[in-house]
Amino acid sequence: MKYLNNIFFLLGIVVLMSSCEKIEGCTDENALNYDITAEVNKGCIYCDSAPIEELNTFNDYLIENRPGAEFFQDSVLQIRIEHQRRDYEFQQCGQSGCTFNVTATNLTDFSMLGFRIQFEVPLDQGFGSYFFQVNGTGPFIDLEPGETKDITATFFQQNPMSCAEMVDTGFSFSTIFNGIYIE
Amino acid sequence: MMKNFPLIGVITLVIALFFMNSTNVRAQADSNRVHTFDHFISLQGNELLRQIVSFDDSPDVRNPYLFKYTLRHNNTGFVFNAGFGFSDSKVTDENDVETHVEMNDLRLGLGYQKKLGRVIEAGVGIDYLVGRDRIETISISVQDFQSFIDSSYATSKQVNRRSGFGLQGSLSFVIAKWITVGTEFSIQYIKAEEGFNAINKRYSIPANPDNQTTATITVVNEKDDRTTSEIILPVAIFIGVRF
Repeated sequence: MKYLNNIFFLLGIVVLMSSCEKIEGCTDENALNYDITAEVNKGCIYCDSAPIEELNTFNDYLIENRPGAEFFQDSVLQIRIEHQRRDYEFQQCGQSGCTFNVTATNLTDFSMLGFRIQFEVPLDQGFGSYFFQVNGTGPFIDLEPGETKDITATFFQQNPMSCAEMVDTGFSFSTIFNGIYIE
Repeated sequence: MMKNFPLIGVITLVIALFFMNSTNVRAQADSNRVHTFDHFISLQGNELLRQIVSFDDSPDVRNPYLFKYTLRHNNTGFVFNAGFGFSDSKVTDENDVETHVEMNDLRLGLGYQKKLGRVIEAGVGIDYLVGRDRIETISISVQDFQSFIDSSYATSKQVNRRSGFGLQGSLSFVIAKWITVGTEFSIQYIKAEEGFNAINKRYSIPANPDNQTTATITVVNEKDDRTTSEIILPVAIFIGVRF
């Protein structure tokens, strides 16, 4: 009891010492609103948190149309196009609007190396089409037999303000103008 | 939980004072007995004295510790010192800009005190110092340009965190059995980290609902490390009570 009051005083001082309210803010350096003064992580904003709205999806087969090529007039690639809408809250994340995700599947038993392809997909309503034009600085398409790969980067980006739906009946135009088959 | 800590700290001190009082009731029965421990609670009295006696050119008091506590072992003269300073203000100006200023300082240390005669007590000690200042502003503005509405939400924070060590000396006059008046000076070595953050979220909302709202976020972060050595002059006056 003699020293109990001394202990309580010391304890009171120590508790007061830790009474400063922690500063809240985003402590993640990768977030848009990173706060260098924050002590407690709260309320981080990320571009990836913007929801993706699926619009329509399109599947078609690309036919080898180069005379003399292996698999001439055969379906060699299955193309899948996903049309998506994403609205970013902040302009720093990118332009809000519609984007395409293009994947290709090698339907042959051969490896496909250095392929370049182009195709058009008509709009569902009205005139016009989405033209998937080769981006000369983009990567070539290389696929092992049966492999599926994202090939979106091989084309120029579509205008994000274009959100009209595609037809689901097939390409209006498609061509292969580069690439070899290796057994 | 953190927000309740000051209340818990105060309750703990009140419990200690209750035990102290019950102990002193027995001690007063034998007033010639020397206590093993003496407790001193002191408050910085410069503002109070300024109300009573005003000097136009009185120097600025740079001692941040408004409240001091000292536990002294009377047989050896060794002391435990603690000092605490706290300031919190929130102001909203005519432009609806809210400014919140918070300052906290704490020191803990050990030292030695000796009586120089009947009424003077002198002491020396070494302290660990820690403190944090925070200045925060929040500003919201909305402007209607008919074809669109421009609104922005801006916050800024300036935080100074510091810690260090100090040598301190004190001099007190015992003006009554339980009352002391004293001052102190110190030499402090402090390392501080100062951070600044400003975030501005700006929204442009078109009057035509078919047009898209555009938003931008601008963030500024700055950090500065500094080291200071300074002498705190004996300008602060502390009025203390001994238990």
